[in-house]
Amino acid sequence: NKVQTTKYTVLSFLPKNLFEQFHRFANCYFVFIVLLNFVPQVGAIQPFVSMAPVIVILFIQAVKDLFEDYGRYKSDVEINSAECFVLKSSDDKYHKMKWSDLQVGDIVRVVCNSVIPADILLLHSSDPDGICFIETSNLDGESNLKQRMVVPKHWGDVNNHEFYPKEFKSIIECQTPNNEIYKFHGNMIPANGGEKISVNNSNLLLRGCVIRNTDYVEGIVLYAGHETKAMLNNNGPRYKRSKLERRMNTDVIYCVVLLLVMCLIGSVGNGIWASNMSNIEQAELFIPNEENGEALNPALSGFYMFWTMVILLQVLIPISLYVSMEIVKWGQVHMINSDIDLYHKETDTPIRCRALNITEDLGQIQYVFSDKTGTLTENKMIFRRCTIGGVDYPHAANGESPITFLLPNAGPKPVNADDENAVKSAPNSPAASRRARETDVTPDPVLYEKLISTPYSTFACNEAIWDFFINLAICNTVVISNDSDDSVTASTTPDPYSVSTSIIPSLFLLSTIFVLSFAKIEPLYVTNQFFSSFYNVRMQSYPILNQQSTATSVKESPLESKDLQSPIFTSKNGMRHEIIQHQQLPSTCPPFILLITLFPFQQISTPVLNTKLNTKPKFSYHDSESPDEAALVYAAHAYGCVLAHRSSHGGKESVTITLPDGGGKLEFEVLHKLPFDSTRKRMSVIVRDPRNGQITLYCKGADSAILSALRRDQQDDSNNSTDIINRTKQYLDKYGRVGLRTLCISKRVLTEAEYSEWEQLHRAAERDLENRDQMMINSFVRMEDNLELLGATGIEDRLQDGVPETIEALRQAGIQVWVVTGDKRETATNIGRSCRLIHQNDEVIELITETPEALSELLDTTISSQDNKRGKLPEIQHQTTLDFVLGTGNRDQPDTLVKEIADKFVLLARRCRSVLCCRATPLQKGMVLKLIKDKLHVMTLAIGDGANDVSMIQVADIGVGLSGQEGMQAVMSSDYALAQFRFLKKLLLVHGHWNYARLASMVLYFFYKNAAFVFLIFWFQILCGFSGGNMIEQSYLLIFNLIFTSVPPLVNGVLDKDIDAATLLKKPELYMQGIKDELYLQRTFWINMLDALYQSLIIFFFLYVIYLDTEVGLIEWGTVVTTAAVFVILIHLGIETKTWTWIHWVCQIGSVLVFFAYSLIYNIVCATCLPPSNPYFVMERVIQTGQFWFSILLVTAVALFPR
Amino acid sequence: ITEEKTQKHLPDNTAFKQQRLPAWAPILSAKSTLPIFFIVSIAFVPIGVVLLVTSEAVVEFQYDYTDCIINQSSMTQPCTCVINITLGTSMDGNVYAYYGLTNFFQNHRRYVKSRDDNQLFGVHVATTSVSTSCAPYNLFNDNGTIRPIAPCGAIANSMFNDTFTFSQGSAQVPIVRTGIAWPTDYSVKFNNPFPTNDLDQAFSQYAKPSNWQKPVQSLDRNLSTNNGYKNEAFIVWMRTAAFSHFRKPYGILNRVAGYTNGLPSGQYTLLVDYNFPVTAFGGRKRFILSTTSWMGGKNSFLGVAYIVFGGMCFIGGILLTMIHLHARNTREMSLISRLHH
Repeated sequence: NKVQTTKYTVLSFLPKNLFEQFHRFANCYFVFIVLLNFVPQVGAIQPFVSMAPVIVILFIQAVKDLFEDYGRYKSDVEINSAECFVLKSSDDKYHKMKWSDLQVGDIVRVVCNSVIPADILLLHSSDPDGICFIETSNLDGESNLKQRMVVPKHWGDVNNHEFYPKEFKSIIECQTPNNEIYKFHGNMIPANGGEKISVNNSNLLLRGCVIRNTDYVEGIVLYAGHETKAMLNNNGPRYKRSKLERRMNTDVIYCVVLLLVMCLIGSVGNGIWASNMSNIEQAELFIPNEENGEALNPALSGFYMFWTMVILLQVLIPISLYVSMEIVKWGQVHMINSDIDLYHKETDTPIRCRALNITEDLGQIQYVFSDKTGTLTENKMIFRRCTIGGVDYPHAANGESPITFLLPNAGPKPVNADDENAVKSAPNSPAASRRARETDVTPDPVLYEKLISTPYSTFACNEAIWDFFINLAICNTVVISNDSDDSVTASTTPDPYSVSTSIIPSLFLLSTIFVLSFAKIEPLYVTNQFFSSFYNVRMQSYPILNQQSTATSVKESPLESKDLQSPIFTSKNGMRHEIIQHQQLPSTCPPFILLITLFPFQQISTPVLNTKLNTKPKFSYHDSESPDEAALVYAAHAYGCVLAHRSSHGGKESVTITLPDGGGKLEFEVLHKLPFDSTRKRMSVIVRDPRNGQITLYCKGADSAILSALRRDQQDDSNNSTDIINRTKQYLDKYGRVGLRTLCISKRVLTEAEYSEWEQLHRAAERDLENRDQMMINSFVRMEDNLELLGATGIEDRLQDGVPETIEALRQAGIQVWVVTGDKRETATNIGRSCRLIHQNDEVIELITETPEALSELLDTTISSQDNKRGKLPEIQHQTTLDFVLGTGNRDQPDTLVKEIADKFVLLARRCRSVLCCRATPLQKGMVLKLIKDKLHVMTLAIGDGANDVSMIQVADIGVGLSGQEGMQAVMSSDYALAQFRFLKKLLLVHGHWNYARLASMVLYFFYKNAAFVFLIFWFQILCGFSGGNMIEQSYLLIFNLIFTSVPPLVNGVLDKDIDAATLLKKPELYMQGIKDELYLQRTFWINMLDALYQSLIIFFFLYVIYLDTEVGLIEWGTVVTTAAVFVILIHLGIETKTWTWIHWVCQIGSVLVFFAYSLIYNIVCATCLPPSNPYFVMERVIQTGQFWFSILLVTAVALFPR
Repeated sequence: ITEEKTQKHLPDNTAFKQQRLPAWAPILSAKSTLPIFFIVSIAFVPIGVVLLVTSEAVVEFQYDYTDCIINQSSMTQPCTCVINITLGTSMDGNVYAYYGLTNFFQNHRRYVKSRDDNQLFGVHVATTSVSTSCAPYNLFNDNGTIRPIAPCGAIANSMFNDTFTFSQGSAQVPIVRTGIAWPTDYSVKFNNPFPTNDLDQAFSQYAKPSNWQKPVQSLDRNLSTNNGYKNEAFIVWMRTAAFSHFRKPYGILNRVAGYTNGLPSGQYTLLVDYNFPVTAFGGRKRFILSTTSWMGGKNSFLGVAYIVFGGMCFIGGILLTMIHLHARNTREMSLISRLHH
């Protein structure tokens, strides 16, 4: 189990690290140049001098690698020497052992709260039910507990719970090690020739997870060390190449071409010059002969010259640019990370940039693909309505009066509410949404009464209402936790007096505990009066309560009085103590009980249902796969059907629910679980109903998934059930229209024969190793058929704060916003409307067909009709907007996106202002995005929060993950992790724009800077007979980029702001610059090069004329040129700089000072070094002359004046 | 405590981290750019005038003597020529004598590196280990014995060896050949090898450069401090010129009796020991006499450039101002006309 993540050992470090470093193009280039320098005929610079920068860079990188590796080594040692308990066969006892000594096949004991050392097959748990809980946050970031089960015991004494390793003799077949965390299956073949037992993911404990809620577990190591799934999943950081970088690379190629051209010119010029001179005897005076005393052949001389020029002009290839960009991006990331506006206070999450090298892409996004659930919405599921047997039951949430729908064919509960109004008043007030908690479900009085008025026992077990709630309660994967760590902490507040007596003892007497029972409507007055008097007293001592809340308390129903708590509650960090005395509750009390609860500051009163009182403190649920499930369980909970216990005993699973009125428990034996997957879009459990022993399948899932699997004969079975289905469908539509997520609830009663027949087939499917997945699904589908519709639920998922504003801003910025969701069309369009994706007077095109052919046809007609309307120009921005809903009802959209259709779709979609894709599977999300990206060659950003968005996030140029309710998978695969959708606005409009502008100008500046410097040397070739001569002192040549002119552009790259944040946010149109690449075009590159050319010409030839026919020495003049170049290049940057902070000043002035300091010191300490340029005392002399200063001033002014 | 705990990821709210540092954002507008034009022109034109006046005050005399002798072929075959010179104006103050060369590429790469700084620093280089950068001017085959050349390299080998004797009538004008090299070069960079007091011994192991008429220890037999590597004419030559058209100091007028105020105008004779061959490669040789100013020699370009640039700024500023005013007027006019209608 030894793990080694280090790349190097002590011995291999040097060769291996060097080898790795030379994989980088830049380093190879450097080394090539250095090697060239060693060729005496070519060498332009002292070889050892030219090595210095390379060695420095290699050294810095090596040190960095070394540190990283050392860190890994230390953590390896720590991990490898961690201890665990391993069974020794010699004495049959568990001994402490190092992790590194663990081997496959060892039997290990892991105790509570310790980390699992390897991938272990669970054989025994201290839990009598054979389960244990693990926390997988180390692996996937999900902090909820997951349940794992012991492999059914089939050795030794099967009925004895104890585990004796000696008895355990089995052969385990399993897959070869792979990195799929969520997939595992294998078989266990008992040595004594028993039946094969299939084992799967639910029996496997993964390395890195932590055991919780279980004293200890024992298991056998299946994968160890590097073969564990955790290690196989350990990929390095993501590397993406940004658009700007790609663009830059083409310009680097231009630079290479330019370099070669210049070298060729030099080489040819040298050849011609040399051949002219070769005829002249006395030219030997200044063209030294070769060592053999012969004059150098002009052709050969030209050839040498080429390479000399390569060395001299090497800086033209902006190798330093890559290093600088890395530094700048690191700084930019740091700046983004520390932006306080992108910090989400409620969840304590700042933004996290996971990809370091695409900061500027944020400024060039053209398409945003957003998930809906959890991204646009909060993904805090609130049970809002349900329909059972064709009857709609609205639920009040947080004081809002329930909206009732009016069905055209007179539903059983006619209300005179206008249907339109109902749609309009979709519950999206942000104030309410902040307070929404999934645990707060207020039961519908009518339904509740119906439920308890028909006790379960007196029913023939097919009463829809009961089945409905039982389904809600048991058909899920919710884990029950008995921890009392949640906000509901009644049991942990032993003495309510101690909380508050210290504050206002006298008032406390008033507010101790009031439990008021009242009839449904009439006693309202009583409470209100009570409330008002209560608060009036309170007001005097606590001015925190404002007038408004008092008013509310008086005016509105007791349900509304919950609003009272909001002003105080939100300021309290969620520390809430409910004082609940359920003993006082009469068991027959009516549904509404007002209970006053105390908060630390004592002002809060909450109406809570009596049913909740009994149970709520006892359980809190760790939601598992989706928050919908939890919402449904809480809903059932509110109605008294409480999911109380899950257990598994010797392979038999059971789930217990308690019933309302303390009416006892029902223990369902779970025969099978058919887990959720995205193809079936539903999940089921098969249980044995304890009431009559029937085997029942409870199934819930997406409405399309359920409605298509309904009992066929139901249509003509009875009028009633057809009616129910139709009405349910109608309600489903309406739910969808107000933006509710719908689920259909159904069941199927199985005969024993049916069940056992299916079970046989299913077992076979389970055991199949190759096609297991497909066979399992087939098997599931076979079972989930002939369903009987019970009803449907509508769960509300509120819009996050600021979503409409953000979308509006993004759109103004010229970004196309698409919403890709798995939800149904109605829900999606509704959310689209509420978040201003679709405007009131937008034309909405819907593409919903069953077959690809029909879709193709529909696309044709739509395109032609649009053509007729607006002419053929495929423009994106139309005055009239056009929305498009890709709602392919059929299940295999991948096929529908065949080439032809895809083309048409893109043609149409690019003219639409926004596109909503509904019913998209995770894969389809990625495909839609890829389609647009490939066809339109645009920059895309995908934002999502769940595992279903991962494919989309990975395909996009930038993936943004929201750290929301659905675990961390999206975040783990994303480039940027945000807490809220609205942060996207600042991230893109401000940081994106800035970073793009900064980097674009920095890249251009680097090209300019290097070119200007190199041109100077190139011009000199004209004067020195194309001999590769160089007037600039060697060390300047090498460190000019490295030191003199490096810091200010870096500072600009991190800090410059072309436009301030407020303006950028106010005028999103400014973002267009990035979309249109305005700051970094091919043109701008060449303009910059021309600028460099002009400046170098001015510097060079002005100084040439000034110093012509004087006694100036080569290096002396070169020093003047270098100084002028430093001034011009730095001031050039100064002109480019949009905002000057003290940091800019320090760096600019500092750079000049460093240059002078360096040259003055260097020129004085060394009298003989660096031949031939040897600049002894040059700078000192130069700065004493007036000529120098006046030339510099003139040249700088003239060179920069055009700007 | 809970406050801190729940917000432990809260970024620091500092001006730097939130990118809110107070900043000066220069905005380029007509109002801010126009003054720049005028300020530049106001600053540059006077500077230019001063520079031009300074440059004009420098008196310079040049004589191209390349063609005073025909048929000259090699550095080692001396011949002389006599030139009559008339100084139209007197040269006041310090007077410097220069020789100027044209088309002589002292900046050629292979030429520039053909030297051995260590040798010139006075390090006794063992017989055969003169720096290879001097090759092929590093070793001399003296009838079978390989001797190192001192000073080695192409630069030293091509040292300018014309001498000028400048006289007024029969009296020689005192031009001293010291004080022309950089003091630091003389005192630090160039040192004779041991024993420094007996250069003949010090250089006994060495051969002279092939183009030289006399060995290095005979460069100035009269003045021991100006002999060997420490010969200032040699030091001056060793500082390679930036361009192929250059001048190098030859000597300074010794302002003794008769010349205390400089060089008076009148008739002079220049006797040239003509050694240095340039005609073959199209080079020219000049003898130059010049006074200096604080700005160096005569160079009107700098002053003219300042004046021209300042003037251009001025004209540009005026043009821009007119355009600006005109644009504003039309804008106002159109506004007014729109208001009227």
